[in-house]
Amino acid sequence: MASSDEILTTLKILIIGQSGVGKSSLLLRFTDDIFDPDQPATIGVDFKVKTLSIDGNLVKLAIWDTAGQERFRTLTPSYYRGAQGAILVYDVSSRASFERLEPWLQELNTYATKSNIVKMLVGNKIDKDRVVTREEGLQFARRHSMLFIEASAKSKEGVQCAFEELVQKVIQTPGLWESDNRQGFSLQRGGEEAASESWCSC
Amino acid sequence: MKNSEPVDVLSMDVDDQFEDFTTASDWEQFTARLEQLLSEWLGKPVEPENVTNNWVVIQEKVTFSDFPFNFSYYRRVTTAELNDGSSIMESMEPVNTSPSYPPYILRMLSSEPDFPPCSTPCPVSEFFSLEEFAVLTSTAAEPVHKESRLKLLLSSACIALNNTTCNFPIFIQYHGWNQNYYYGVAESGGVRTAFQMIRLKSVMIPTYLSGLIDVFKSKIGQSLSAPIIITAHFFYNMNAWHEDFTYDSFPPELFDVLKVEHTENSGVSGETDKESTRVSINQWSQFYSQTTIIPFGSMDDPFSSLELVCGWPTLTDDIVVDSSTYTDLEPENSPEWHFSLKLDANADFRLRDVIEGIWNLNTEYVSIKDVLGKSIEDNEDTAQYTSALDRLTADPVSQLPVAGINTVIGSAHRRLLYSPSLYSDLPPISSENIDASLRFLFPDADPNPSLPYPSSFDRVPDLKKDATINFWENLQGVKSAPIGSLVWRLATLIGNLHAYNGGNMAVAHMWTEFVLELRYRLEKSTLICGLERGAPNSNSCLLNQKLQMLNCCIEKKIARAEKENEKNVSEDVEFAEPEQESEDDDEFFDCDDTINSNANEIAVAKFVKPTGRLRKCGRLRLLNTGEPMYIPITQDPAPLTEDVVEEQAKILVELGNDAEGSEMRAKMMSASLLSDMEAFKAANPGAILEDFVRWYSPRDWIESDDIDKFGNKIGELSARMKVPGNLWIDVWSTAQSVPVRRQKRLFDDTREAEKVLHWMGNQTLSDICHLLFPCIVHAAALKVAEEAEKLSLDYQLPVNLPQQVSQLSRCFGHICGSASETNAAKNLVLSSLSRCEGEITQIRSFQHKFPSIDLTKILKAKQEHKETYGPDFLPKHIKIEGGYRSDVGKTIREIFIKEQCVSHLLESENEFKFGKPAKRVFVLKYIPPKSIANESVGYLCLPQRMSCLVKEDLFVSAGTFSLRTDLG
Repeated sequence: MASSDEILTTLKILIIGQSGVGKSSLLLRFTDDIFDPDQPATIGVDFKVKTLSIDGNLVKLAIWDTAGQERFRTLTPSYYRGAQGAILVYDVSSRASFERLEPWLQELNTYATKSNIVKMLVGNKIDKDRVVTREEGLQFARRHSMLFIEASAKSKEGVQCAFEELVQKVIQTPGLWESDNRQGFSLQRGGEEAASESWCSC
Repeated sequence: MKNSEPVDVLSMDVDDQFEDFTTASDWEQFTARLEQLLSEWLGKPVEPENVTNNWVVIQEKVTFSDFPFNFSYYRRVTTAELNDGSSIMESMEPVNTSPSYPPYILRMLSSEPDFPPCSTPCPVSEFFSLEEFAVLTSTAAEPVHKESRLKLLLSSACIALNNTTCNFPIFIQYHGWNQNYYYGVAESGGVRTAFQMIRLKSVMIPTYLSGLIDVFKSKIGQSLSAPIIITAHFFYNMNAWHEDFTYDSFPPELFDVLKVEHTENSGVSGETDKESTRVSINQWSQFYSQTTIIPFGSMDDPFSSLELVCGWPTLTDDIVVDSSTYTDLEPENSPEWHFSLKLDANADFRLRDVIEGIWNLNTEYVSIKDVLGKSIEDNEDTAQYTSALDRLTADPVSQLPVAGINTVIGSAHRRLLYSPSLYSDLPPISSENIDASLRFLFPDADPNPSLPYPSSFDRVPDLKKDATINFWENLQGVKSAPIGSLVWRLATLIGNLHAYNGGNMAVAHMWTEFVLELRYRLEKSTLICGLERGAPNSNSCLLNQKLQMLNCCIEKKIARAEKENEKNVSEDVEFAEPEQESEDDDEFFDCDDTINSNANEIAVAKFVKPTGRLRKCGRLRLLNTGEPMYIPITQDPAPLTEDVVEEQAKILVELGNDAEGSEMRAKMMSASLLSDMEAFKAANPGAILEDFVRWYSPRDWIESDDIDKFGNKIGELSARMKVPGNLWIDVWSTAQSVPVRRQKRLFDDTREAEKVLHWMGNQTLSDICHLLFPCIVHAAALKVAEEAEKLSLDYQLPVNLPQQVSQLSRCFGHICGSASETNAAKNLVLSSLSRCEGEITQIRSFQHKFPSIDLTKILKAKQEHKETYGPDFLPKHIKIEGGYRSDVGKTIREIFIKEQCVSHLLESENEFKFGKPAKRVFVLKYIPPKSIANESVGYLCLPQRMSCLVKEDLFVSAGTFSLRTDLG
């Protein structure tokens, strides 16, 4: 296993979308490869780390999972800061979750500090009976310059691929991540030494 | 030695002709090395990294025994060649002209004018008018100064040139390094040329043209069959501008403006000096005259001197007389006039000074208190704001309404840090100036402010030029404060104070007064003016966010006070309106609060009066009681500044990546959930978790088509909500029925306000630099754009600058770059800004001096022929069309006359003479007629050249003398 110093960069990824569309389940499937139908509804924000190998480079992902309930939406956008990628999730078996994507995008554009943040649309729960066609999802993604994939946290389909595609795209976007090593907190214990270099702490 | 390349002895085949190099001397090795480099250079294509100002320069190290040398190759390339990237060899193919002269002689024959000289990386090219050559320079402790050494080196060079096909000369730098003294040799196409220099400190030989012609003739022969062609240039210097021609952009004194703006408004100022100050105010920014006080331009003229060059491009020795007794060469007779303006290297530029000054605070790690030697807290006694307004009692105390509340407060003034009655030491900024500064920052304290804040900060100035419009738009991404807002004013004000009104002390003093004013406003529940309302904008700089935060606190405080007021009013009234949430309800409710339990929920609900209702939640009814469901009044989440968000995120991250961490995070985040649940319970007595979920997370309520007795659809909680022990159930069970009014505040404004003020008071000068810098550079960039807009010609603003400013602005604040990155970003921006400032000032000064010259045309021509001139903004030599008799010529004469008047050298203008030139340059050429070019021997069959520079105490001559080697 590669040690932390071989890590190319740490990326901040957001997962947003209506409540109950399976944001936390997608994340759990990606990080721990499990599916828990009884996973409690997220309160506020939660967070997971996973290291991913992209083209032979190790990339550390700090993935922020957000609560979808309307009332939490005054709380969660504070954590959008500095994110390089965002996954916007809807439920293919719920038309309502698809129809209310627009406000989420607006919120993302308002609060994300990086203007060239990579956005991905994920249609989750394709193991269920769908009411939103793949074509509709595709159209929405095209209209808003997003990546698009359909997935199922339950059946595992498309989950790994979704995260990999997103990270690949972030890595390919110039200016989005190069300076990352100096931004934000460091996830490993070694973070303190790195921080002492920056001149705010002097 | 016919080998053009060194031979690798070891790999040589035995059958090949065997040569033994094992006994080669130092001299032979040295020569071989020179040959190797020459061949390398000849085959090398033009690589852009080797090219500066249209010269290819390649340097290599060589040694002669232990003696180190630099061997450098110089070649001028044309722009076309650069773009082609064609190799030197290809472009060297000789253009077939009659006698096969080497290129350096062809150049002597060309009619290309010698003036103005092209930019050059090595003086050799100017002395001998060369475009390709190599130079050998000693890099040892001492230069080459023995003649025997020089000859040895020249012979090496000669052999190397012969063994290669090089048709350019090699020079040896001789004598001191600073003397620019060179000897050279070239050998090619049957011609050997010696390049020789004479350099005399005290001039012993005749330096008039007639004498120089004699010297030239004595070298090449007296009986010439063609006249000597002469080019002469005389240089005249003007070193002191008369005030008529000086351009200084000295802006008005900061406090003159701030104070006049004030006094003028209150009608106190005297009529006499009002007019003059009016003018000076107009010198300030037009677009942001209300906001930007960044100074711009140099204090003195950006040009230190003017040089007039009078040229005679083609004279012959038979028609011109220039001797000690008489001369034909007077400036008035010169057919060609050029002039150049020399930049004042010591000029102070104000915009640059202000930015650099603030940046220098970066390394001042002293706290404000230490700078001032006194503590802010000392002044925080109770009497601080209410008494001892001695100085201010003289001011008309105004009563002004404050947005949002109907109370009236006194003029927002309070006792100052250095109150006249208390201080014994003089304050860094006089109290009068502090007063002007505070009025500038907080104009709302004035009943009729002269510089009020705009109603909104997103107005776009009326720009006309495309370049400035683009520039402006590209600056949108800068992370500073809204243009013209409070932080913007503070940053530019402190920038000025630091540069011109007291340095570090003044910064510390101003900052402290600023913090005191903020505290005063908090105490008096007066909103801070000049800020965008609402929660901290994370796209603005940290200081702006902190002030917005403080304003949120003040707003909360005002709202609370209003509530208190209402309550007092409603106590007088017998009963409140049903909709109105009054404290009476709460008291009622509190009694029952303790006995509220799940068991007798329904029963109790009948007696409990609901409180804290916002509005009905659609047509939903509570599952157990059938009462309409109400959305409760909820607490807003606490506004956060970016540093606090970052800290919280850090804590959340530190909880770990496992399930336990997730649970801890959920618990930490559940404060607002608990608050909402309690409010919901208070608004909906008898409600159960299912009711709450139906409002809060409708997708977790799975409905069927059946309808219950109250008209609700029958349903159940989703599986995840039903999992025993999940946090939603936990929180619901601990939630009491409490309306938000009686809840613990999620946003403790009193504490948060205190935190902000404490934070403000504990900044070091270095911190202040970081807080203000994004705004300062942003303001400076806009200032530059504005000045460019005002110019009468199109000035090209640097396209990358907005992006660089934006990048720099993100290096500050809570998340910041490493010191070196920030420094690099700052240097990039600062050099770009000061270049613009310098160039715009040059344009202004130039147009002021020479209004009749079309500068646009000159700059355009420069761009087109950029290989002719150096990197300066203005062309080094500007040709005066029409010379002496033109308008510009007359202006120049006027400039010289005025200079002599200033220095009292002149009684009347009629006496004026340009006088003795500071420098004279002659180029003497002999070009043989074609008839003898191929027959005769000696110097007369080849072109010869001698250039001379004559100054008061210096004579330099450079001769190019060629002989045929193939005619025997």
